[in-house]
Amino acid sequence: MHVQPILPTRKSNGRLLLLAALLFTGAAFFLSLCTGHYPLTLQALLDREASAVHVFLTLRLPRTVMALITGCGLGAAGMIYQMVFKNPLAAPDIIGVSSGASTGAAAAILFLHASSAGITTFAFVGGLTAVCLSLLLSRLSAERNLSSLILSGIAVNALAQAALMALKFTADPEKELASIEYWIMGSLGSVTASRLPLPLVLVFSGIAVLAVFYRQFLFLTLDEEEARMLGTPVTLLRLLALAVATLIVAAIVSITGIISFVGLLAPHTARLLTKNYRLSTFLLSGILGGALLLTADIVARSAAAGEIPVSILTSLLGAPFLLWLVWKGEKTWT
Amino acid sequence: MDLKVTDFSAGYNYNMVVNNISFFLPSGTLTALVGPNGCGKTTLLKGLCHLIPHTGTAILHPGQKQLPEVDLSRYPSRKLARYISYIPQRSGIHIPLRALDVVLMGFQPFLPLLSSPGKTHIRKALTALACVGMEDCTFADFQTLSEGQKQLCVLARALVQNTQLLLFDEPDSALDFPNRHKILHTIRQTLCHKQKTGLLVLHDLSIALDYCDQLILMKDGGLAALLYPQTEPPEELSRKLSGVYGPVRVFRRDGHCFLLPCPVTDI
Repeated sequence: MHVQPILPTRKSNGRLLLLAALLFTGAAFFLSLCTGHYPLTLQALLDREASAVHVFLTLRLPRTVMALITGCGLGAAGMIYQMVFKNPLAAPDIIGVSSGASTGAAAAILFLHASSAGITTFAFVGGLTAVCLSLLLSRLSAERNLSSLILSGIAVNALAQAALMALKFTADPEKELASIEYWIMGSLGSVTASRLPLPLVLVFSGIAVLAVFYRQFLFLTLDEEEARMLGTPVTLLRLLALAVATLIVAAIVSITGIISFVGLLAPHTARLLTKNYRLSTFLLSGILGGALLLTADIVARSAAAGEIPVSILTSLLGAPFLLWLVWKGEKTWT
Repeated sequence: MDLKVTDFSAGYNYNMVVNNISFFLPSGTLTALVGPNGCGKTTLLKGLCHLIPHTGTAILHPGQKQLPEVDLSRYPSRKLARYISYIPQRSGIHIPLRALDVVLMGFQPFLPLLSSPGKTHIRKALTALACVGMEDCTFADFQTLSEGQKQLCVLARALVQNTQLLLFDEPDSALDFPNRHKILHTIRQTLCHKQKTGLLVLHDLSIALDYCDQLILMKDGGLAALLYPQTEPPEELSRKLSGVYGPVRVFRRDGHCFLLPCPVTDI
């Protein structure tokens, strides 16, 4: 007699974790709205006091929203990068997004004395150019596999770093060099409402595309031959994952500058919590990234009299966490 | 479906390891690919899967039914995966996944883009897991399984893929004695009932002689001999195998073949 197997029941803590992370992020979002030098009260906003509403709409709200989408975007894209490169330490830098964006920004500061909008445009184009160059170079190699992509990424990264150094060398140390360095440090201070739409649209539509294709991307973590023999168009899918993740990161770093460690920290924390690679882990990675950056930005604005660059805080958090991961021996890739 | 391979060469970066091999696999039969280490068995399998550069033809004939032939070399990977299920020597799964999810990957070539496996797929996957004796590990993390259990799990995946051609590279290398026999038995049954064609790289010659209808014996990238254990006398089999492996003797008792290295005085 043929016995129908019993269907498994869903027993996963993914949803609970997602809910908890969402609540925490919501709380951090609210706290971030209340943090700053100008004392904002709910009463003042409700009474429509002109200065309070102005501060809220042009400074506080855009900055908080930007912190949220920056964290979400970097966290989600970080997880995709790690899956595509089958490496727990893969970050957007591996194929040159960040260094390309830095070089673009430096060029804008140096040659155009550009406004912040101009710097953003140049950084965005710079980041995308570097990635396109990496992908093109890897297509030229005899074996179009992952290691040729990584190698051409390293080459492009080195080229961009060299160009950046050359630009810094010729820069006027008083003004230009300082603003280049300050841009690279990464900050949410320059965010205004008018510059928000592009990253907002790109990050959330990007995450939506990645989530829709997420089940396919899981096949990219297999050995290439095995994935192909399971009917996966590996090269095409890898290109799609990298293109979308890169667009997200470029849209973010072109406005905020380099924000380190969020793309590394968020996916690892998410996986430590869920211990799997399901879609909920990917979403959790995004939400945790948002929570992390909101928290770091709150501290950046309130810990000292002036504002601390947020990258210092994410690195301060990230480096010990990374060490802890090493000590704990997270065995994801063996 | 029958598989007809003609003048097939395969290798890496145009350095051909396998040279001009031709053979025929009738549908419903199991064939073993045997030969010493480094003689090109895996290379031949990868060439048939279009994973590495190759020349020559490999064509699936639909047997007696009036259906068109299938030239596998013209297919993109997604379509190819509907005709060939391939098990590599070592499974390349490096992330934590449930055993069930690993088996469900076998439906990938048949699922429409962006859809995920449904209840029918899960039922079939559970049946396949039970078929290889892994029903107790359904929700276990694939990474925590032993090498043998991983092999059984990947075998279940190949079973749900349900293709005409099965190309398995040492599917039994980590299995214990009873599991090895059970798996070979399962593969044979599946081939026989559904008129599929199987080509297995095997190292245990006794197992190969006992379970397979045909043995393709390779040496230095070429075809050394074809063996038919069910029809040929043991002396003939011994002679062919000794030409590649050194002195060995094949015995047949109660309809089962087995093999011992020479010299053996009596048995």
